[in-house]
Amino acid sequence: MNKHLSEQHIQEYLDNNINHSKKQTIEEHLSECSSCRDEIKHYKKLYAILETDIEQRLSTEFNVNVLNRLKNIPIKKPKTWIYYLLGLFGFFVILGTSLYFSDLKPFVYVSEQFKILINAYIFPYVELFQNLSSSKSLNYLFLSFIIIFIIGTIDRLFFSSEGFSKSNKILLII
Amino acid sequence: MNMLVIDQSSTEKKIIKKILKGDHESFEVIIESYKKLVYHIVFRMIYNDADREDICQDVFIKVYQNLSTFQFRSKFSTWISRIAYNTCLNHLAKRSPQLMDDIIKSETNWDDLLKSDISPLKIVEKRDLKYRLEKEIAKLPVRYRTLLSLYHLDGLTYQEIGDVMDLPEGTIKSYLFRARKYLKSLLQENYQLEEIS
Repeated sequence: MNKHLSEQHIQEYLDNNINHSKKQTIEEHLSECSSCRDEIKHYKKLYAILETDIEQRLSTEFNVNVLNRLKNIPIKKPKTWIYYLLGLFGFFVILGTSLYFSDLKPFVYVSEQFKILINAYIFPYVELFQNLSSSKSLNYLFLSFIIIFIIGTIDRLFFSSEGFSKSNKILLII
Repeated sequence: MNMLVIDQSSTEKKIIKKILKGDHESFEVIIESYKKLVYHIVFRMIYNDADREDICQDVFIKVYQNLSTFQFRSKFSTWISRIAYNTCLNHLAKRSPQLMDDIIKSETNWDDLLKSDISPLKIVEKRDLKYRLEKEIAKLPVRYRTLLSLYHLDGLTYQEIGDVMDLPEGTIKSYLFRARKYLKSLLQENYQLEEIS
């Protein structure tokens, strides 16, 4: 490299923002060129000044003052329920419009297929569940367990992060 | 009061959850961890010393108010920096032309002078160099000053600075290059190499 280093190359070198081979070439040039070494010295000095920390002039009561102001300020709640409501509204509008303007035959067909699917896949499990025990009280207990689990999951997913643990606690108490 | 310094996003998440549940005293951990970052931005953007503390307070109030909207999609420090940057911009827009008083005050730390092996004269010279350069930085446009601080003092990446200032990464690189080139030329014009090395 016969030419002097460009300022862009010098800045990239000092920022360590170049690849290994380019870095080597620059270092080789620097070992031979005093003018570029001086340029690097100026830049290094500038970097050192820019990296010198600013003396903080915040009052010692800064944290307390902020905390005192917070007492009267509520945290903004994210308005997610509006989006759920709008989504639900949009869903019913689309569904209603589609049903109004379309032929219902395909829906009847889908419904028939759905029934076949249920008969094929769900009923064997229901029968298995019923055969597990002849005692009806055990069935009710199992059913209540499933219902509480579903409520707990919905609570956890949509209402609060604590919901799941609360529901599990209720389950344990039962 | 026990002060924690946040260094992991998991710790941040726990603290944010606590605050959102109503424990507003936990917010002091956030203040303590990010006070310096916020001050750096406010210091570089606002030159009226009397306004700086109030603006720093306003930044933390906004952080607290909008805490529930932080989705952990970016670094918490980037999010806070963005709030600080926008708060300062709003302040400058209200107070145009901006007040230019208290540009630089003496930053002499006499303890350093006593402890150091370097002669007091040398320290005064170095201070003077920093002082004069700070004056030159103050003349730069607000965006240049801010990104110099975010890059050199707070160690943010080009992308993070771009997120804070709402500018493309290429523009950040270009502004940074121009600002440093200008400051280096001033340094070169006003000081001999022996003085600055």
